[in-house]
Amino acid sequence: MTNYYGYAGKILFVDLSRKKTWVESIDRYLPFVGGRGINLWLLFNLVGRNVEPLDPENVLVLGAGPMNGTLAPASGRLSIEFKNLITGGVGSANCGGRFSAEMKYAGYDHIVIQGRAAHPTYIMIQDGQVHFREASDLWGRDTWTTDRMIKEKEADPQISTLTIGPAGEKLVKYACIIGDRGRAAAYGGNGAIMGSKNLKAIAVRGKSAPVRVARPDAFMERLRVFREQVFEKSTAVRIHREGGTLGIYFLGGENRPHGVKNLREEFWSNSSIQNVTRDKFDPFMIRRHSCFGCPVYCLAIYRVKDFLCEGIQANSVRAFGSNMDVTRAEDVLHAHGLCNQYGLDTDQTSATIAWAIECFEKEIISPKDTDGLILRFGDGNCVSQLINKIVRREGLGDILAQGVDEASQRIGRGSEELTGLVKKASIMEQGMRSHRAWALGIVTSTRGVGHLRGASVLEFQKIPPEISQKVLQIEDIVNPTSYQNKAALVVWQERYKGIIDMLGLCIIPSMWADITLYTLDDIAGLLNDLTGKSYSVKELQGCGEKIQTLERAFNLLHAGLGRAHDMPPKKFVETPVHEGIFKGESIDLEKWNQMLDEYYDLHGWDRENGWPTKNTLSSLGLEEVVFRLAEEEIPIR
Amino acid sequence: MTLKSRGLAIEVDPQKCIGCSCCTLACSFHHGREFLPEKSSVHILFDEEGGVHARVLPSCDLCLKEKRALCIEFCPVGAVSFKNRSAS
Repeated sequence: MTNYYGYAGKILFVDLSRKKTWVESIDRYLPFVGGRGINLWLLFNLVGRNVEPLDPENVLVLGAGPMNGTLAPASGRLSIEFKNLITGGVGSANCGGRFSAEMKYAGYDHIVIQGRAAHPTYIMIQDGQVHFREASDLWGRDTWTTDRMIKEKEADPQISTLTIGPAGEKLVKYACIIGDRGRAAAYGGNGAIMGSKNLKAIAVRGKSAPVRVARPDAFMERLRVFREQVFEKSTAVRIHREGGTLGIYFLGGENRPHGVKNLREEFWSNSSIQNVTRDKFDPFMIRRHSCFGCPVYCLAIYRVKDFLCEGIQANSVRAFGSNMDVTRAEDVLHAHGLCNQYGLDTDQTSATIAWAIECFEKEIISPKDTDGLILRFGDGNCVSQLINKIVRREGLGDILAQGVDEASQRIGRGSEELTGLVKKASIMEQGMRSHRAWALGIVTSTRGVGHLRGASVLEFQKIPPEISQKVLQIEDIVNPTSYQNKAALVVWQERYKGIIDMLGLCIIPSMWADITLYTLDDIAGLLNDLTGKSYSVKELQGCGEKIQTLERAFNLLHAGLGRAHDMPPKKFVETPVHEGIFKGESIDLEKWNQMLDEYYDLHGWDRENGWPTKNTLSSLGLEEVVFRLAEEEIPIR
Repeated sequence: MTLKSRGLAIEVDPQKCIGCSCCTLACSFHHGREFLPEKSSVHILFDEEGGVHARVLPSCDLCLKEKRALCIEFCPVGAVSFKNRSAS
């Protein structure tokens, strides 16, 4: 018997159309290590170029990594890959909770779901058994009720669930999967993909498959030292324990960028900020909470108006606070909570609503288009009403449910000028005009947009050059507005994020936010004691690069994406920051292009098209990708 | 004289617990040098309203062969401790 230290050793395939399941050994996928890496290789091999995201032939690949289910801090993340409904390229999402650990305890590292069920269905996976359950009574329910009803039906309160809410059922383009009630696996419309499969939920419970450790005592000793001497001494961990990413986000007050009013502005004054700082949400908090096996506990459970939700992180406060110019904490929490319950990606929901409000302000749309609803920034009630209209697909909500790209094409009349799109996805960020690595990481993100690929928080932290040189081998990243060395920081972060995701770790308590946490040496040490293998730091970085380059190749193959799609939206180039310490900053296109050249060089992709080259793919062990691209007559160099 | 025979037991404070289940994982490691909550003597159920329901099973041996009780060592919020059974 093979000892799969750190692994369950199996991949479960579920065909909803035929109600069939089968199992394959993980062995031949192990060069991609786990999590996002193996998911991606499965996706690349299973989904044809002509498959549309909502076709039954699209797949949802769920992936745990070697660290999931162990005591390694913050090892509760699940990766989900699929063909992206918004970009047409790679779909990639990630959530915390308990699901990834339960998968392994049930005996599976990865679960591939394909086909389309004839009727609303949920899948119950328990220790090698897979049950297809009727879900008609769950259809239409919110994510919290669905989770509760499944636990009651299965008579097991420790079950972990991935669910969709009404947004996924109604195929809202930015619907997302929600893990264990409160953890959004956002980006790419995976909720709609699940809805298109008539799949309401996936439930898992494992009691029989332990996560084995190759060198148990060494692994535990390393964990002890890491937890006591690094984790417990980290300021970032302390602040996250007090209030998640929100605790850190507002520390800089108005002296940091903010995404404001459809990102047409990036300055938000202290007089606005003071109304939505972390402590303003405390009156709604029931108690702090954690993902499985995570000592950071950056979450909390809240009661807002008439329902419960989990959160709240900085993203949601940007989404429904500054980007809407809403300064009432209860309204921000309510909008966030609705997204939680309906299964909506807060970033794309915010971007779509903010765009609609700006269209209304500029009289591109009028009360005739909105069923009489007056759209205005600063009005939390208007935001909640629009969220409800989107999920019910009522009137303007039906148009907005298609996302900004399609909605702007449908409405026209200059509304296209107000968008902030990259690869058909909307940017809902901050720092786009002032922080060069941050912006480059977001615009080149393989999953469309978002700051969880190459964008690094370290650019906001004034890391001294001697530290960045020693730890990252990058000379100087102190000045956020400088273009110097920023491509190198993005490439470093992309590789690092690939490593974090393939192992099942969380990006929050890591070098993304604190340069002392989960260094590559820490990761290699833990991984090697866990698996009995001998990964070097360089090899791990090579795995991270392989993931990044494979995603790039997937985007080329499926959506024709390349350099032309790595350009920032016009508003960040033409409309500078109007106030504050970054006043006057915007993106200089000439410098952006130089930074892109450098970025492609570091990856070994060709400058002209931004495509991976044959040499690069081969050196990463991706010869099959070269072959596949050649078959499709895509002329990579 | 063992800790058990001295009347000690493991207790989880539901007011402090944040539901991470680090105690459960640490306990399963103690029992088998591997991770599987089912093998643990400490079980935490954290309900949707934040209610904590903790159970310590008779299989708990107070980690006599460890340097410290692992559930206590790995709890990040100090919610797990020894209690004196005779005092409860």
